[in-house]
Amino acid sequence: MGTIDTSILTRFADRYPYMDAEPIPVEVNISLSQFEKEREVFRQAWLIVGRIEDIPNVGDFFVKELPILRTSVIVVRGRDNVLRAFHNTCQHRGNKLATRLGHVRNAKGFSCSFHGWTYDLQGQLVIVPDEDQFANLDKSKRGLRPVSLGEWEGFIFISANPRETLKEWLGERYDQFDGYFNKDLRCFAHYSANVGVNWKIFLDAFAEGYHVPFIHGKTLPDALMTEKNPLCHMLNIELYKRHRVLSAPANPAYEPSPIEKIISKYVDGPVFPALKARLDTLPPGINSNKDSMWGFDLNIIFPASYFAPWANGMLLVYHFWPISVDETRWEVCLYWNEPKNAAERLNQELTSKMTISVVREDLSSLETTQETMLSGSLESMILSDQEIAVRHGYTVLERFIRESKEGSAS
Amino acid sequence: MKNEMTVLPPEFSKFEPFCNKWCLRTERERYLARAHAPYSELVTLYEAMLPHLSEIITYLNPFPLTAMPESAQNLMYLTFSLMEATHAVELWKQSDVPDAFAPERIEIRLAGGII
Repeated sequence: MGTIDTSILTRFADRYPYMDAEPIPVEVNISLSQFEKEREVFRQAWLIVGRIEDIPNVGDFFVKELPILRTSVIVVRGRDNVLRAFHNTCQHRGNKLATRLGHVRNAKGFSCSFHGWTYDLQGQLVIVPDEDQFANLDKSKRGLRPVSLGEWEGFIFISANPRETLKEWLGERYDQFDGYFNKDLRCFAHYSANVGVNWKIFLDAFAEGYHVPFIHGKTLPDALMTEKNPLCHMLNIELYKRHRVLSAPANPAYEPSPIEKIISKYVDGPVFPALKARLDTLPPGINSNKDSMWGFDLNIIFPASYFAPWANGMLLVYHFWPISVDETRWEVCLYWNEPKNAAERLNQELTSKMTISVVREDLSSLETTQETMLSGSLESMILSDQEIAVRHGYTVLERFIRESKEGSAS
Repeated sequence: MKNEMTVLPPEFSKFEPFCNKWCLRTERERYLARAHAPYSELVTLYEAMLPHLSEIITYLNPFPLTAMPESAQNLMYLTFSLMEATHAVELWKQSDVPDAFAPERIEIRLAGGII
């Protein structure tokens, strides 16, 4: 069923001579002062907060709690169909406007529960009860405080204090997707949890394939690995100025389970794993080697999100939102086409069940790892070539912190 | 939320004994019910329904997903529970994924609005 690509045998480190091979001190994942430096990184970063399909209609909005930015943000589609982001803060006396988290809702405007101040979908203050009692209120100057918002390939980004345009932030990745995600996507499952672990350890747990035969041996025994690639080496790893992408394999000899065999008769293509991508329809940024044994890509967007297009057209978007040095809010949204019928819907349900079980395996070790780092029983983490994307995360973060410091000093 | 009054389409009435426990409207209810069910119950559900999955899909496919008759909708919920039981029976040979993060700590919600 095809031969292994020789790039699997490549040492990725040879392609990136600027990456050192030193162990990573654990201090970076337990230090409060480091965490405060990272807070400034998140303030300057462009952060993925959702996709345009999440809020397709005028008045659709969602709220993101972002403790790392010490704020809550409303992202809303205005009457002019333009997406905007605002601090979720009434400009009268600071009450929070929208309080139900996460869920997409639709509104005609935002009304404060404290004194009824009301803002329209564009953030303008339009109603102040008993307005005559204010001696010097100029409603045009008391609109909601905007947060910078940008769109790219259907992803919605916000930034509290951008030093670069979104295009500059995305760098080499900006023009590699050719509108690939501009299709009928819909979030069909959403999972989240607060986990007692530093956000970097959390993200690192997904940034290599080395763990797959071990942590996922019971749930993914033969979906990714093959006889020739038993330790789940990546097909390719590309490291960029800030971001990185891993291309993960799928096993062409995978034997579908009884239920997968039945469902696959009613949906277009195999159910699981995700082989059978039309390689000729993929843009340069996806499956960069155009490997026929490709399963999915894991695009880590610095600092703490990734999006993963699968060969079957599914798109997973992960976020690792820092709460404190040792607590992280994690969420994943699974996007796929709008299901045309019950068979497609059932296939999506089977897929989301597989996803959350695999993720619960990934999450199983995180909290004890954080405790270990505090115990003093481990000084540093030593990383293999297959874990080079983990190393890259620390390298980019350290460089960003150093350069911001130099930039603000000059 | 259990639906005590569940009625399936007549062709599938043989599955009604499963409905009280497995005809659940939300993914979180189904997920936790499966994680905490005795394994033998999951095997019974899987072995009873799997041989009829093709018939179920053929029956449900013509209905619009957002406007199913109640009996078809109930069959859909029950079949979602079959999806839940699948990995327990086919992979883990136990009710929940071994040694994993506690299922109760996962928040589950729908973003799309369709079942």
